[in-house]
Amino acid sequence: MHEEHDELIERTAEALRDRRMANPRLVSRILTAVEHRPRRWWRAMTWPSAPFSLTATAALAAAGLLLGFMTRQATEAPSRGLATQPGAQAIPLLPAARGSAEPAPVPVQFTLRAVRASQVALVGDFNGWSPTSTLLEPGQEPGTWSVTVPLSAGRHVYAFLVDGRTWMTDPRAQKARDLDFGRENSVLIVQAP
Amino acid sequence: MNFRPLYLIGFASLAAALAAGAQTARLDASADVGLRRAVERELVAARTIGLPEGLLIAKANEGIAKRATPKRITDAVAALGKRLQVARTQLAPNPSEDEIAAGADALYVGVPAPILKKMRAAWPDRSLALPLGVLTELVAKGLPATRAAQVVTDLMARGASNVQLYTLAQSVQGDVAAGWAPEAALDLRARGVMSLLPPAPAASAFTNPRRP
Amino acid sequence: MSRQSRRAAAVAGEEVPGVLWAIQPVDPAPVRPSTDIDPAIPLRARGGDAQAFAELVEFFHGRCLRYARYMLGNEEDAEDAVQDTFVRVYDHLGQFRPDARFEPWLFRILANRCRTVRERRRRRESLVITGELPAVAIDAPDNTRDMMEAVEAALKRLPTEQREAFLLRHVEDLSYEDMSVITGVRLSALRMRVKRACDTLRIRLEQER
Repeated sequence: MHEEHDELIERTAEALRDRRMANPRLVSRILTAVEHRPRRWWRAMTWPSAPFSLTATAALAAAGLLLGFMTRQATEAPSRGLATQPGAQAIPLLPAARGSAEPAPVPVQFTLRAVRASQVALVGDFNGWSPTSTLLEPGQEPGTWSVTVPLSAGRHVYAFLVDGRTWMTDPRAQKARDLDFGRENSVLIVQAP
Repeated sequence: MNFRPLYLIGFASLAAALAAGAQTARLDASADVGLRRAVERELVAARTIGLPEGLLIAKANEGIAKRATPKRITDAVAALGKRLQVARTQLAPNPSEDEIAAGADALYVGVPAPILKKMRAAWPDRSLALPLGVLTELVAKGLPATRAAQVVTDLMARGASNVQLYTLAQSVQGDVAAGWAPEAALDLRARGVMSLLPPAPAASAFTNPRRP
Repeated sequence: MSRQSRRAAAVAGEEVPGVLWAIQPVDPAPVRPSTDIDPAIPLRARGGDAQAFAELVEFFHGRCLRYARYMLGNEEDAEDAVQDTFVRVYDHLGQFRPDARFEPWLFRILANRCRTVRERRRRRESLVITGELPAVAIDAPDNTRDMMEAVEAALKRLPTEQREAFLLRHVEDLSYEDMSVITGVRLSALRMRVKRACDTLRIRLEQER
């Protein structure tokens, strides 16, 4: 049976399709609902068995790139060519005098979606793991939190502390094992600007 | 879901904030007296030999935030102190605090101490914070320390930039996530970077990146 | 339970364990441009990756809500149906075959959930919301009503199977093969339902002009 092109139907369907129904609150509800459900079918993976929790994101400033589990990157086929762009300079960058060789810090934004939290703190090696010095601010959309922090180039470990007591790694970042205290951190590498 | 990077907007004030923050590191107020005293002993030892105290205090605070036992915290602080000392020696002369911290991290995941010295020799005048961070991550993700270190130091000696080292690590990580064996990925990506660099000088103190 | 009776039960909307994977698409190659998610993501979720599961929810929840909203007629029921759907997805991810496509599998669960919610509601309420409206007024001509209201009203008045078929085909843009997986109904029957839905909508909406 051949389906005819019908303008009225097309317009109708388009109008119905156009209703934007994105609902972050529902997403949170869903993720919370599955949080405590047993995963009977789960096969062991290399991911550490952190309890599934709230979504979080950490985005970086242009000069710093997140060496983390960025989903889109991981699912794109990695380019089999060279790691660098064609035409990259083959001569090393002019070395700065090492006294002032520390590159300027790079602003890095950390964001978290935590609908039921009343306080979210960022703790890491860059703020001495202080639970009070770097609090995230609530964003316009309810349940979103963010803060921007200057980080020196190199590797940094961090985590979120929710309501002063819940330790949360960043699900979208790489994890770093903690041989000292047994509680994992998230890790990111900030590139020199 | 927003994966777009943000753009820098006047971070001079943020830089100042960073500097200020580093100087006022304090042990968390919730630390009990016994812990305070034990950590203080380590700090005194560190001060005596001129190691950066802030890093030790940060380690103690990390343990406090993670609700570790006082014993574990003091053990961790002491172990870090030793690593900092080794890192400072290997990264001489005059390593920055960031370099010492990064060196200690590398030692922590199993990078042999002499590698730090080699990296310093490859880049005598540039900060090693990023290359050390890259090496630490590669090893933490399962690459054999000696092999990863060899690759990284060779690239450094041949003139690879921070950007290239960083991209190398990122590509390797993506390859591993897609199912490649870590060493195969590292080999492939290193060759890629190597092919962009000027040819090696005639006499080289560093081993050839290809396996014997 | 025989395969036929399982199919029949599935069509009737009963919850039948183990049937989610049993029905394979007739033609696995989609003809239309795909609205499905990158296949790596459901596979990772199946392997235990919590972040991948969150990605699934983010990617599909809007469409699921839209479908449920039009099937059930109100936000609250729609949200419940969608939440139930994803919880079931989570519970049954282990049964999702790696060689199958995720989108029809998901919509199958969603369509079932919507049917269940409707059945539950039908038992509760004496007045049936759709398909049997009293002769009064919803389509009394009213110049101030905008097109969306007219469309939704017309949609509401379709029999359930036609509404379902119309939404899947024209709003969700799914192939008949996928729709067969989702509803458990033969292709020819589905085409008939879509055609009838379009005919009815056309008449109702043309009256609105």
